[in-house]
Amino acid sequence: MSDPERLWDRAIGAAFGGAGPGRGQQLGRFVLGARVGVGATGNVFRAHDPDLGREVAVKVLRTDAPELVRRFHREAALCARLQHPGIVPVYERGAGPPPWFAMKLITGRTLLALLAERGAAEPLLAAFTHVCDALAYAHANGVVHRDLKPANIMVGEFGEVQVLDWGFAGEAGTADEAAGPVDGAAAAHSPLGLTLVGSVFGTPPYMAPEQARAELHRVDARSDVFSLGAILCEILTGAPPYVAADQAALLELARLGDLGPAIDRLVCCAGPAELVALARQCLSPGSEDRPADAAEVAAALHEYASSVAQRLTDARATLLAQLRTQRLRRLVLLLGLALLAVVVATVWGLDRMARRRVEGARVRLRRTMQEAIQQEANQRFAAALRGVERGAALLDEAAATAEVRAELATLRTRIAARQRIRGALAALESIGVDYADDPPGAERAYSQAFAEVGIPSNQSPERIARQVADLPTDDRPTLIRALDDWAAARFKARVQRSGAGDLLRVVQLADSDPWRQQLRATVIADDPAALEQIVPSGDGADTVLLARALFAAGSHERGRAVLEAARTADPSNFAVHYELATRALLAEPCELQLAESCARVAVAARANSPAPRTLLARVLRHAGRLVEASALHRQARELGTLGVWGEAQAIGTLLLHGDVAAAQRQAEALARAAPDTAFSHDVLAFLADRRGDTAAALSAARRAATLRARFTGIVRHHWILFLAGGPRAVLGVVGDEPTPGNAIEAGYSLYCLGRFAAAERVLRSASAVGVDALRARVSFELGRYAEAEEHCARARGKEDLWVDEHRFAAVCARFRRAAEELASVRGSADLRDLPPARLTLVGRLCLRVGRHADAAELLERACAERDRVVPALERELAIAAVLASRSDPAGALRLRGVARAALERALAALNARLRLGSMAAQRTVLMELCRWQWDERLAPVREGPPDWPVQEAKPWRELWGAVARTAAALRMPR
Amino acid sequence: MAPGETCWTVIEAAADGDPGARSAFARAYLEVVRVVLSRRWARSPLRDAVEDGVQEVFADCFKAQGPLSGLDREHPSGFRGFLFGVTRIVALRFEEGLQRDRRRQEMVGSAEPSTEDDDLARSFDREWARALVRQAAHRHQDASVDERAWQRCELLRLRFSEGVPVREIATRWAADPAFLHHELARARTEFRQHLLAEIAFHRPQATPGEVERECRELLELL
Repeated sequence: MSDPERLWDRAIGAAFGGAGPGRGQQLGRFVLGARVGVGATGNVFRAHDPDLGREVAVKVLRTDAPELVRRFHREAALCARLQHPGIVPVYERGAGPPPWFAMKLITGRTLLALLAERGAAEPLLAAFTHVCDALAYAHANGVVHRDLKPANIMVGEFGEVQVLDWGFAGEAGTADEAAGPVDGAAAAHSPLGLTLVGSVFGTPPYMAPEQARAELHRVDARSDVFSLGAILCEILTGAPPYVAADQAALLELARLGDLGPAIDRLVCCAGPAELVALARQCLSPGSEDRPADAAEVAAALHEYASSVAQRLTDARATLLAQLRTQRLRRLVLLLGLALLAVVVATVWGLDRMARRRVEGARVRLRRTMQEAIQQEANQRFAAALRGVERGAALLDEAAATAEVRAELATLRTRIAARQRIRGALAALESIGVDYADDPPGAERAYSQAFAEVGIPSNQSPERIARQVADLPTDDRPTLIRALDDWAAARFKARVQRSGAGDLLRVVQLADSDPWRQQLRATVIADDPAALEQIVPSGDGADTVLLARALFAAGSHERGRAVLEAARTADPSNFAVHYELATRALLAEPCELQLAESCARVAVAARANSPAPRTLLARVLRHAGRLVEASALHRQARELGTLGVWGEAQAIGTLLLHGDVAAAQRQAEALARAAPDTAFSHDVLAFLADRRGDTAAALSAARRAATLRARFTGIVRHHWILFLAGGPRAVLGVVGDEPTPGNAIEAGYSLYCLGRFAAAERVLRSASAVGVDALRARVSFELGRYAEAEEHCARARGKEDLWVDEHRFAAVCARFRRAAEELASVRGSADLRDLPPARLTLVGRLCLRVGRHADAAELLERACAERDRVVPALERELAIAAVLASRSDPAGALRLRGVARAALERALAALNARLRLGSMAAQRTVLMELCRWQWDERLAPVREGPPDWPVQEAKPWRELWGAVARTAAALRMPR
Repeated sequence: MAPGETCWTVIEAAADGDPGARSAFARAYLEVVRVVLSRRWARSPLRDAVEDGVQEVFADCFKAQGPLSGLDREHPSGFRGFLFGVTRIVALRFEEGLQRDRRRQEMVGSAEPSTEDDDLARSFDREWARALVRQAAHRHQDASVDERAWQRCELLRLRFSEGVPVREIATRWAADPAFLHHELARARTEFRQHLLAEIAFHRPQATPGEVERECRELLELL
């Protein structure tokens, strides 16, 4: 036999050996027939029982995974034990392999299929009642189904109902093998902290919040009751409680227990009030608020059915009585009297109906007000206000008294005031995040938020301190923290050191805590060494204060260690997790998992605050989970005012989602609501740029630029004026003689144009954050390496440097030493013998001292010697080759080819770096590409002479097109 | 299998939430992922997280804006490459999580999970090949509508899976050995057609020659 035939034999053996049993085979005494169902782990066959001459169903497990085998046997045992007409009976089982069990063959359609037809509700409700009865029996026997959904409910031709698929069922009060670990502690400390098998395999649209959150110790009969409520909700409203585009988003909604839309649908549906109330009770997010088990649900349904039957009987009796009366009247009374009676009856009926309507409206009004008060107690002010408005709409219908109207007005005023204060406090919690982007805007936001709370910030420190001390105990710590954050942000931005000191003195007066007093004193003294010695107080918010001070002082490792230790000590602390999530998101490489888990803890700790939800949305957006991010933004807006930062994040998500129209609407709304905020104009400029309206883009960008006292956005973020108009547009706004405040932007623009001497002149007068790092770069380009080292030393510890800026000082030192050696090397011939390790250094030096041909040759060899592509080096090779081509007409074509090949390699490497997904990588790649687009030394190959041969012009055009596309994609706000 | 149906139509329907398509997807592919992850994590603390991993792969495949949305359906690696990519990303994500958790808890003494990508790729390719021949067997069985066709499937199973000689099968079935040899040859041809159809189902853009070549490579992997 030939080898290929052997291979075929082996393949057939593997195919039929692993295919499991099939038609015609015998399992136990059952002969398998056609396969009637297929699942992820097993098959269901129609089978014949020759002993009893009947048809049965045989379920066969297709895998030998121990966990699944155990679960399979457990399902068989549970179904065999539960003897109820609504639960499919098991006849026999076999251990296998493969394991199997035989059960009753059920024919009919699933409730899912019946719901899809949207037929009459009565048969669906009848089937649902049977399901409740079956579940009630299971619960009475201590069994919880845990995966109840319409697809698992079979309705026969004659209305008989059976609950299927008990594979995830568990027994109350016993160790739960089906679902893995049972206690919440185990869930929280599982090696990965991920959702557990038992909950993961549930079905999110019907899943109770505790089940979705894998709190398996809390999953009991009331979790099934939630699923029953979900099915009832679908019967009444046509959709299950959670509706989303994908499974992940559904699971997130289930985890959050976001039932607002479902309740709204239930309230608006035309279903009987009793059933709506029952569904709402079953869908309570807290399990203790639901009926205790399915028996209670079944009892409520039977009671409803009885009341319906009773109402029908009463109506029939009334009708018969009326008929008898009419006959009698026809015989006895005259026509006029009869007419009179009819008129009287009609008037009486109308009056009665009117009184009933008023009474109903009063009941609804009272209930609405109570719900609003409850929502207020839960700090859900937006929902409470909506309740108040619903109540206001009922005032006339309920013929409310003056007292009730006054009571409602007082309630509205009180809730609105609390919402305003809460919004201001929430805004205060998040302002610090964007302080560095827009210090004047942040200053305005702080002042405004303090004014909202009733504390104008333009008063004397003593007066502010007194007012803070007079605030309610609940709100005081937030304000003190906000003052601390405000001061820290001023310190970090290095724009208002004296202002920061003033603020710290205010908060020192308002807050007498000794630990914080010591911290503030150290910050005022600007002593990083002493700061590192401070031992955390043990309080989460204090720890964050310390960590922020450490980060601002450049002690990143210590700051991170302080946060990590606090997280370990208090795994549910809001402030620590919020801060750590922010740091993890901005880290390089981005620590998305850590950011997400910390942000989730922050959301759980502050369920009623919009800020942590906005942060989690930002994390998920960065992970590409845009649907979930959008849902979180919506939830955050429900909870209160988002603030400029929160609105900015929501707009960013819309843009990434491609919902440009909505982003435009929101940006315009933000520009109207906060006209002095630069961000909204940035977005409008971005959108104008995107649709090709450069004039509008530049106009909006200039407006944003004028709102900022200084344009830190250029260096740290994607600033639209720079991106849409390039460095020349920036120089157009800054003017010929930039002020010290915005000289860094002018310097950076000149640096990007390759005009290093001009950049240096401008930067001499600058004093902003980032100026020393930029001066180091400019000095380096000018070949003055010792000076560059000095600038690096000044930048270190003072500025919030990027990773490569930390390494830059070492690069400068290496160049300084090499430059000293190069001074003795005169001719190009000497350079040809350089060892590979020296090629890069000497090549780059040659570029900077104007020896372009030598630079091109050495850098080409250096790039070829390397085992990975370094984009900056390839750019320098391209620049050297282009410059060399100008003085070498004979070799110009080859040199331009070298330049293009280098840029193509660099672009491929940059794209690979983008796939790392970190925000820092995106920022670095964008800035690198901008330099390609604007460096004047590359202008000859960027624009090209009009008489270029096609074979040379075409690839260059393609390259610059690819560069422009990549850069445009990165301009999205992140 | 409906006319015109390919692995992409199935997975797109599954991503849209079609329960039948999800079930078909799970039946065909989750066992591959389960076996690959079980082997990779057999001696690591992640062995208890295999089902979580399988579930993550399942969820990632269908995620809105997930890998499916930006996929090049004409890429030579086809659906196998897509599923391998998702499995690899999930495996690495779990392993990174474990490492981080371990650093935090300073756990020592547990065996490391196998982190070589080559191992994962080899293991995945082998399981993929097994899954495809199993699917081909299912096709074969589903297409066997009459008793004789079904007997041919059973003949393949007895001969190549259980190793029973044709002569003994003939004795069991009271049939002529020469006739069974003839039926066996026919059954092999049928199975071959079903396997080629299964490969084409996963590579809808491939030419018949490419399908034949992939079939040969797949047999080598088993």
